[in-house]
Amino acid sequence: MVDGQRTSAATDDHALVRSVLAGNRAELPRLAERMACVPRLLRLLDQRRGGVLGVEERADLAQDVTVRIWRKLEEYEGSAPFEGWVWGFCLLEYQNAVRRKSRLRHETEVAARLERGEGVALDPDPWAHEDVHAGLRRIGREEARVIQLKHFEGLTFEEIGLALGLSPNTVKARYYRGLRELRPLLEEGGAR
Amino acid sequence: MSATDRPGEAPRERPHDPRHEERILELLCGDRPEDDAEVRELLRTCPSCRASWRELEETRARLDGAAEERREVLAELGRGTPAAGEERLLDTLQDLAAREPHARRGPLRPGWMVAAAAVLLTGAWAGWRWLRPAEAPRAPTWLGAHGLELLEPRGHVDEYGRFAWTYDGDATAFTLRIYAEEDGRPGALLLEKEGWKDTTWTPAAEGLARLPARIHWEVDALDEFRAPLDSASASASRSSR
Repeated sequence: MVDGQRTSAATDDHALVRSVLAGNRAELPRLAERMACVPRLLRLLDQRRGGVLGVEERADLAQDVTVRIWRKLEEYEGSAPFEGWVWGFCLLEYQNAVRRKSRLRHETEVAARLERGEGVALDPDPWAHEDVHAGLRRIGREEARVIQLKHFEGLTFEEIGLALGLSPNTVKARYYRGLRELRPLLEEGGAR
Repeated sequence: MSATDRPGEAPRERPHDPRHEERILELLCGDRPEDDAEVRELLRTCPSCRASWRELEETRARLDGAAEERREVLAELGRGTPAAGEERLLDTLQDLAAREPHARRGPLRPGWMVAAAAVLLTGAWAGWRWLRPAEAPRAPTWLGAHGLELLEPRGHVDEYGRFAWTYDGDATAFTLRIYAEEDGRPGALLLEKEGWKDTTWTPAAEGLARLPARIHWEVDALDEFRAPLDSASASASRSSR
């Protein structure tokens, strides 16, 4: 990412992450401060879904997400502030946690329906955008990157080109190819 | 309308040409407006381009929807009060930094020594490649393919019984989930075994009895924080009873 394209928050976050990755443990309290967005994002997501998880469940989930983020920390490139990068982890893990909980709750009911010889319908999926995020994880990494910068970070093709060191035409070709790859995954109704 | 069409008649369709995609790409990226004459003619006469453009628009709208939710939540974030789990963050990070450090520090491993070692290793590897006898190409290795492997049941079996898998990493527990397979995809969750320490599990007889003819099952290998290290899934079917 070209520095001129980064916001100052993203630049600061990137420097902080690089320092932690280099083994500077004195920076861990600052990183913990920045990662406070994890439990807060999980709470906001849960509020928007009507409060499915309990407080303890959210706290446990925040810890799981923190572990995942730590293991992927090297992939943070500073193209967005830390919260924007963390968003994907929170959303995915939150959805998985809720799906597990909801499926467990319905297990008895489903088993009873099967015993009665009734068909088992798929649970209605309340995650309108889940397949979009899942699909972006399955298409080409370069294509997904362009799509994320275009739609989620709101950059123009020229800005994306500057950020990635590519010509605008290459960026556009990747965007087009990415959308074409993504489409059938959305039709599948949520890539696993 | 093209010059070859007659009033009242359906527009004459033309076969798709890969060069059309250039126009669709320009339209998608805003380099041509939708009312551009060439684009309008293309969408009117090429069914493949018409379908492709409709799909691209739908996909773009789905992305916009997902991006909108993200924007809304991130905008709310700044107004939030502390949330459950924040108090554990620093401890968790310090624990992780101790157990899973990203970098090793110290005077014995400065960057130039690592770089020099890399150069030496590359040279040694290149020499070995040059001198060794030719061999048949090896099969590709897929990431994760060697970690967690589901053994049984797979494919068609007479009866479901034991579920078995292997994992060559350091998992502290496994989670096994068995779904009804519907249209080739996992449907309703039927059985779940969480925090299982062994690499085999046999459901109780009543659990086995209620499994349908086709199932999809998956296993997550978990670390001490219950975070997944690896996961794998397989399908199986049994003879109708």
